[in-house]
This record gives sequence, structure tokens and C-alpha cells, in this order.
Amino acid sequence: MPGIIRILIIIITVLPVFFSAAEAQHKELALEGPGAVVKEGYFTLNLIGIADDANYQQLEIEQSTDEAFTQVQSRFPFLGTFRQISLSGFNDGNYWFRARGLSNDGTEFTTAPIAVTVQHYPLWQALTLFGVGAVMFLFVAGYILLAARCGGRQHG
Amino acid sequence: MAETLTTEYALSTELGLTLVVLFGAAWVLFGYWLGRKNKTHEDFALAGRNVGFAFAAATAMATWVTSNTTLVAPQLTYQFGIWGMVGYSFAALGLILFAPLAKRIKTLLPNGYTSGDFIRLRFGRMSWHVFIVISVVYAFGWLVSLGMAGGILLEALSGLDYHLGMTAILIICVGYTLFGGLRAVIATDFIQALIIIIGVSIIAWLLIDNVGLDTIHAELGSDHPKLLDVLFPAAIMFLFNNIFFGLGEIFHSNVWWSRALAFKKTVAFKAFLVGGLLWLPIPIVTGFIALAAPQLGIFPPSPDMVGPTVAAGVLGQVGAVVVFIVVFSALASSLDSLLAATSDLVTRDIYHQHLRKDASDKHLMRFNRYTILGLGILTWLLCMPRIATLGALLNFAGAFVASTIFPILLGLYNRRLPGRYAAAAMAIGTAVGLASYFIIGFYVAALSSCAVSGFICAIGVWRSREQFDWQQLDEAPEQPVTQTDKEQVQ
Repeated sequence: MPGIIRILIIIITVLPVFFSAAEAQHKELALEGPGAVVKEGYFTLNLIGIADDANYQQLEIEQSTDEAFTQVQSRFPFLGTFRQISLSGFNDGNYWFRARGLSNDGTEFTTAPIAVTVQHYPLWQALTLFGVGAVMFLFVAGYILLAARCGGRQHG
Repeated sequence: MAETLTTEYALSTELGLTLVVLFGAAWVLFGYWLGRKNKTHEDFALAGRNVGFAFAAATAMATWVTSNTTLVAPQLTYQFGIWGMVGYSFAALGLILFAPLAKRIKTLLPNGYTSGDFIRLRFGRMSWHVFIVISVVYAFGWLVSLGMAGGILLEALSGLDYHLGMTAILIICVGYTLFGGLRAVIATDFIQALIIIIGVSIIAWLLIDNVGLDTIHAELGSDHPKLLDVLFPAAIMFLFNNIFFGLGEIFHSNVWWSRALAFKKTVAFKAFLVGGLLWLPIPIVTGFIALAAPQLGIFPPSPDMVGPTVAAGVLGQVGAVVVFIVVFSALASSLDSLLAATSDLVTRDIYHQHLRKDASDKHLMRFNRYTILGLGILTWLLCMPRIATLGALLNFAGAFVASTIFPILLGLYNRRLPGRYAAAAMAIGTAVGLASYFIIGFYVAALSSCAVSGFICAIGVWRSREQFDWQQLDEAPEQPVTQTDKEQVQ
């Protein structure tokens, strides 16, 4: 046991080495989205190019149905100091997003818009898998109940 | 459009750290106090095979309430809507259907130690090797997800660095499991189960009281309509996948086998049944929390952070402390169980059976403890890079564990399934599950793995003329050599 305690002490001592944060390399603000068509209706957007010591205010994502953002449909604020946001529950369609906020000197900025295309799986495909799953589950559950009732003696 | 814009953390970093230190110290001291009663390796690994009903049901329920339930159920609800919430609760079927299996295990293997023991005796070495690979991958998948969950929890509530929170929860759980063994794990699980049930009930009541169902429904219908859609394709695909993932996790894992073997014979069935029924409503409650996120203007950086973030956002600082205590208890109750069960598997199945058959009881206990520590360190290293979301990481393991459902089930009840078919079913099922995971998505990995494995098992039963003798499973207890024995020989 003393050996174990010694190892624990060594681990705790070397921990801080792993916590040194890497400096942000990006300087140009940009919004990054999913690289492909979204088939599940949820995706993540990243605001890149913000240095760790930057103090941007009122950062949020804006959503619109057109690239010119003639009408902003929704606004999604970032949580705390995070620069990534997860969105979900979207129907099939094309959506445009951009980030906006106030930079250190109080000037407003807006990133270039990016497009996200949502195209859900065909319903027949989903229902086929659902059917296969239901049949398999009924078999497993039925088998367990039957086998448990017979105590396994009659099986095989 | 969201009603409020929440951008601040619910707890200060100092308060978050203080809570970790206080809870950590309490659990480790409790583990140390309980561990004083462990005299033999059987005491340490299986709590003397004498666990009663109340502790048995509590540990079954508390162990199954984990990062899965407190962080991943809200994540999947945030991603898949109402199907994510309801579908997740169906994982209770794993515990419920394991109830008759536990009774059978206790009857067939009165002297067994691990699930690996069963596979080796029932199907032979080839299947055992495949099974051990699956068990180890799953154990690390779960261990890493739990360590990550600790870091994510503290980061979401207090902004504390992910690595620090993750390290803290690993040190605490390794600490008290190291001192107390399965006895400490089960005793802490009992307390943690009470905390989880009371805490989750308080959070749900406060959430409904503060936000209201109508406003949540209106917001989702307007800006996130798919979350309310009962014909949401990916969510429909996910439903049975989650059920089979849960069945695979429980049927194969030594976490549950060690409990079945540790419980008194008469309580094993009832304990798993009651544990499953107690667990059933918890994902509904924790998942529902996520549906309130858009209404509150909370959009997490990672979907697995949505549960604690929303609860803390609605309930304020006091609520955040309650959330912290509940989730911390849930994580600890699973992490300790997994550490104990996996170290038993390594000690018994690999070290004692293959490397040191003459190991003394004291030596095995010491090896078991070093294994717990080694698992903790390895888990910590794997948690550092934060490679995926919790849901995706867990479901990766689903491709592995779902392939064991039919081999375990038929192995326990059917005399005809030969070992070579069981091995092929697990190996090929896993390969197909992994292919589905990468080609289609994480929500089909377990289903495809189980389907292929079941098909191969069916061919094996159909073609085989073998009649396995159940008596072969009752392996005579291979008593470890005690110090007294050694002295007598000398």
C-alpha cells in the first residue's frame, strides 16, 4: 500500500504539466460548420480566430434562410467563454449562419455567413431498421421469459 | 426566439473545487473505513458473496445511473428530441431482463468469479480471447466516458478546466475503490442511489415549476420542430439501437456478473428487477431538462453539457450545487463499480488463471489493488485528449458489446451453441457493428452488431449436435494458496 500512495503522489505532482493551454494561433474571425450534409438535424458551429486573451462581448450566432440575412430568424448566444455551439432539431432545408459581437474596442463585428444543409434519412430506411430491431427485441425478451420459466432444462 | 440569454456559469470556480475536495475526502474516508473489514480476496472482490436485498437493488440502480443517464440522456434528448428521452429510458430493459439471467448465473456458477469464467468454461479459449478483447474495449470506453463526464460536469457548472475536473473524479474513485473493494463500492452505491433519486426529483419539480411545459413546447415547435417529431428518422433508428446497447452492456459486463455472484441467491432476481424499475423514470426526468434549453436560450458548446447547464441555469447557484451532487454521485457510483469489476477480471481471468496459478490470497488482493490503480492511470491518460462526445464514445462501445447478447443468452440456456460459433458471432458481429458506426452513424452500431451475431448463433445452434454438460460450469473453487499453506509445505 505505501507503494500505491507513492505512485499517487507522483501523479499529482506531474499533473500541472498537462494543463498548460496552447496559445491560439488564429487571428481572423470565421465561423466553421459541418463539412457535409447533416442527416440528423443536429450540428456544431465553431467560432475560430479568437485569441485566448481576447475579451469579446455579446457573442452570438444568427440564423437566416438567405445569405444576405434579410431577416434574422433566430439568435443563439454562446455559453460562457466557449466559442463552440451545438444546435439541434432542424427540419430539411438550407440554413445560413453567421457570428456577431463586440470586439475589445467596442466595435461591432460580423463573420462571413456559412451554409448548412439538413437532409434527414429517408423514413423508409429508418422504419426498416425500427422493424428489424422490434423483431429482434421481441425474440430476445420472449426467449428469456420462456427459458427462465422452463429453468433452461428443456432448451437445446 | 429565446426568452433569456444565459452566458454565465452557475458556480464560481472556487466553489466547484471546494465541492470536489469535500466530496472526494468524504468518499475516500468512507471507503477506507469499509475496507478494514476485507480479510480475503473474495471479501475484496465479491463482498463475501452475501449482499442483501436493499443494498443489492440500490447498487444495481445506482450503477446503471451513470454519465449515461445524467449527461448522455439529456444529450440524446437535445439531439433526438422526445425519442431520445423515451428511448433512453428503455435501457432499463437491460436490468429487468438480466434479472432471470442473474438467477441462472447464480445457479450454474455458484463458485464463479467473473463473466470471463463463464465464457471460458462454456465456450473454450477461442471465445474467451474474443470476449476479453470486447470486455476490455468496453470497460475502457465506459471508464473514459465517466472520467470525461467528471471534467465536463465541472466545466459546464463552474468553467473549471476540463482536465482538472476529470483528474479529480478519477483520483477520488480510484482512492476509495482501492481501499474498500466491492464492499465500499456497494455501500457508497446505496447512499448515492438515495441522493440520485431525491436530487433528480427535486430538479424535475423545480424545472417544471420555473419554466412550464407550454412555453417549452411552443419554443421547440417554432425553432426546433424535429425534436417533437415522432417520425424523426435518425431518432427512430436510434431507439432499438439503444435498447440493444443496454442489453449488451449488462449481459456481458463483469460489473453486473460480479453483482449477480455477490448477491445472496434468493435476492439476485428481485434486486435486478427492482433496480431496473427504479431506474426507468430517471432518463425521462434528466432528458426532459434538455428540452428546456432552447426556451432558456442555452445552447451548449457540446451536446453532452446540456443537462447540468440547463439545470444550473434554471435553479441558480443552489440548484447547481444539487446538480453537482447528483451527477457526481452518479458518476462515482459507476466509475467505482467499473474499476472494481474490471480489476477483478484482470486479476482473476488473466493473472490468476494464466500467469500465477499459485498466487496467495494476499498476493491476489495486492495485485487487484495495483490493477485498480493502473486502470485509473490509463483511463486518465485516455481522457486527456477529449476525443469525442460522450454519446458517440459510448455508442462506439455498443458495436462491441451488442455482439455478446446472443452468445451469452444461448450460452446460459441452450446446450447446443458451440464455442467456435460463439467466437465467430462476437468477432464478426463487432466488425459489422463498427462498419455501421463509421458508414452510417453511432445510432445503428449496436443493432447491426447484434443482428449479425444473432444470425451466426442461429446457424451454430441449427448445425450443431453438441449437448453441453451444465456441470462443467461449476468449477471447483480453486483456492488461492494461503500463507499458512505455504508455511506447512515448507
